[in-house]
Amino acid sequence: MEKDHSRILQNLRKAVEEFDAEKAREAAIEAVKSGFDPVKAIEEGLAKGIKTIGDLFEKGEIFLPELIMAAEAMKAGTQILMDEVRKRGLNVKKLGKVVIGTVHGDIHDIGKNIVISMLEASGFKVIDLGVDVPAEEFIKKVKEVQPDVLGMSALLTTTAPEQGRIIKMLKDAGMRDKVNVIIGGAATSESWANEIGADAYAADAVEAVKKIKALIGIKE
Amino acid sequence: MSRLEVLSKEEIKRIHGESLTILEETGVKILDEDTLRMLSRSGVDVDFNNNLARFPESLVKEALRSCPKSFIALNRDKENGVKIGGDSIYIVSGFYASYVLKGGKRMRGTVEDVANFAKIADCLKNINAVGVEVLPQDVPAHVSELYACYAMLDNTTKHLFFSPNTQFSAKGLVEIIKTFTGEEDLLKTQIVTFQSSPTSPLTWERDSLGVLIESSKAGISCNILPEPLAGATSPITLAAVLLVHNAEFLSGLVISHLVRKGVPVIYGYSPTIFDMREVSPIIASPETIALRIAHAQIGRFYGLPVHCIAPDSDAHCHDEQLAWEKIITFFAALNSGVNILINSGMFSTGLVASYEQLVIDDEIIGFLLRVIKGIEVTTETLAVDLIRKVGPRGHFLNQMHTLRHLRTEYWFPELSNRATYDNWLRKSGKDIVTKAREKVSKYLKEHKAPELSQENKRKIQEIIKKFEKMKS
Repeated sequence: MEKDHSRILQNLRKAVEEFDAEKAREAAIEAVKSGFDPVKAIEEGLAKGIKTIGDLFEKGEIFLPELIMAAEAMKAGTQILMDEVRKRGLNVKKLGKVVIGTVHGDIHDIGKNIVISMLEASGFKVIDLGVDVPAEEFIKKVKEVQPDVLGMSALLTTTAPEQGRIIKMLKDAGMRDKVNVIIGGAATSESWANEIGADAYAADAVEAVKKIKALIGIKE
Repeated sequence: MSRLEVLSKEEIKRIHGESLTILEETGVKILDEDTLRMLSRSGVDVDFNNNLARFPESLVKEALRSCPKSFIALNRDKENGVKIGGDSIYIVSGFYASYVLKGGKRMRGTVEDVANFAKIADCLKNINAVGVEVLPQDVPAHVSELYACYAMLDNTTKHLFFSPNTQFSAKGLVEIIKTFTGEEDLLKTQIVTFQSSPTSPLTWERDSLGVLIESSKAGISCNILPEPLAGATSPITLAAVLLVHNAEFLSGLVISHLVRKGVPVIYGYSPTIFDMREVSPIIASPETIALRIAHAQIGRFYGLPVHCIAPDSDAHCHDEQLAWEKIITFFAALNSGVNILINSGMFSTGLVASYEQLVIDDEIIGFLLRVIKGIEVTTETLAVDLIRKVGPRGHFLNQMHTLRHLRTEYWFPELSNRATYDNWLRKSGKDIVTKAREKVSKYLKEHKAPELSQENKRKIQEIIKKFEKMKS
């Protein structure tokens, strides 16, 4: 039994490390069939795999498409395991809530979507506002959802100022100290984040997860 | 990729024809009685009073016919055979600098430097073979190359290149290699390549001849490398430089052929012009690049393995001139079909070697090798079905096709910056020379080539001692 358990966890982890969504699905189905604890399967199986992948990406040993495919494999396995979680009336504790979107005037979503998959794979609840999101919509959602973190993406030099404008609107509405703000996208940088008063900047999806964890006090 | 060309077919034939005429009418000065006698016996018209040999066309053609079009270069352990010739590319570190640049200062080369360069070259994936990077000057001059040879055998398994300074030195090297391989005849066991140069215009000194002859007798492949200095030791015009070079090469080819038929000979060249304002030889001018291309064309016309120096620079420090000259000399040679490219790690017109530069050159070479690999067009690489499947406004980052080609379609730099400004600053903020220096330390600290047997070490050391006691 003990051996079986370690094999199930290993299959889940390996499926993610091998960027293989099909294998992840199979491993998740096997876990459910054998009555394995689905929460444990996510946290000690799939999540371990994505952690390894994130570390390798940071070291430059694997590349962006592999990171994305690993996150997709994680998602495929998680979907099946989450059904089981609900069936058993269990609970998977989310690390935190993140509202995210690409600012008004900017329709680029590839980078933002990669950040979302990595956040979800790491155990965050993500509310995706999509692209070309008006400033008012960001404010409204933050008020409504009360997330731990607001993430804003901007690819264009012409749309990056929108990030600053939204931060100012948060201040004016008295909400700035209630939410952490992280920015990203090709037009942004560490110094831009400082300039507009964001709490953090992330250059890629793995760093975004790391910085968001740091912002809300979660240790790696 | 289509090759670079600066000569037409007719022009190549004309240079060939005029070379034959020079060999037959003007002749070549041969400063060695024994060689003159051998040439005379083989049908060469020898004027013993003036040490002049006039080569008949038929003999040159016979030598060209019987010279191997390619040969197999082996590594130290007689493994990993690589074909030299045809379309193959073989990149060699080295070659025979006087100084090593350390902390911005020129220091005389030592045996330890040779060992370190060999160690670094052993780590670099684009460097196929290892030449004496710097001549060691902390040991007696007449056996310096023997010490270098030991240091190289001990620190790399790659094929080795020598350009023996004297016949004495060539004899010592041959004895080491024969003992090391356990082969009396090295024709089928090419673990080293030699190089020898006539003196322009149209002269073979005794020692250069000696090196060529020792090499041929032992069956070792030899790079014959004439170095006419445009305007000084050849007429100033580039066509005449090619002509003098070619005539000199062919004379060497015939001598090698007469010493021993069938030993591989390489069509070598170190294109050099003479800057008449600075009064200095130059190897990375636009003219030398045109000469590299022309040289490769003539070598390919003969069907011989072609050598050329590259990547090269006449700059004295790690600046922009160094970078662009390195790139253009190498790219020209590579793109014109040169098989053997020697000089990685050097600059200052071949006077200075640098650890950092060897690592940087490996990076430049990797970059340019990817360029000439070109673009593969197949059903798989056109990915029509994939484009249909993903459709407009989709993306390809999460496709198996992307994963399949991710690591093979692209070259990945070891040193060059590709990070955004922020990430670059965060990661290191370091320039390429600093990064190269860090790689050097890592290689020197961590790398160890498979060790020589105690018996081999002892035997080689005995040979060195024996030659050291002799006068050259």
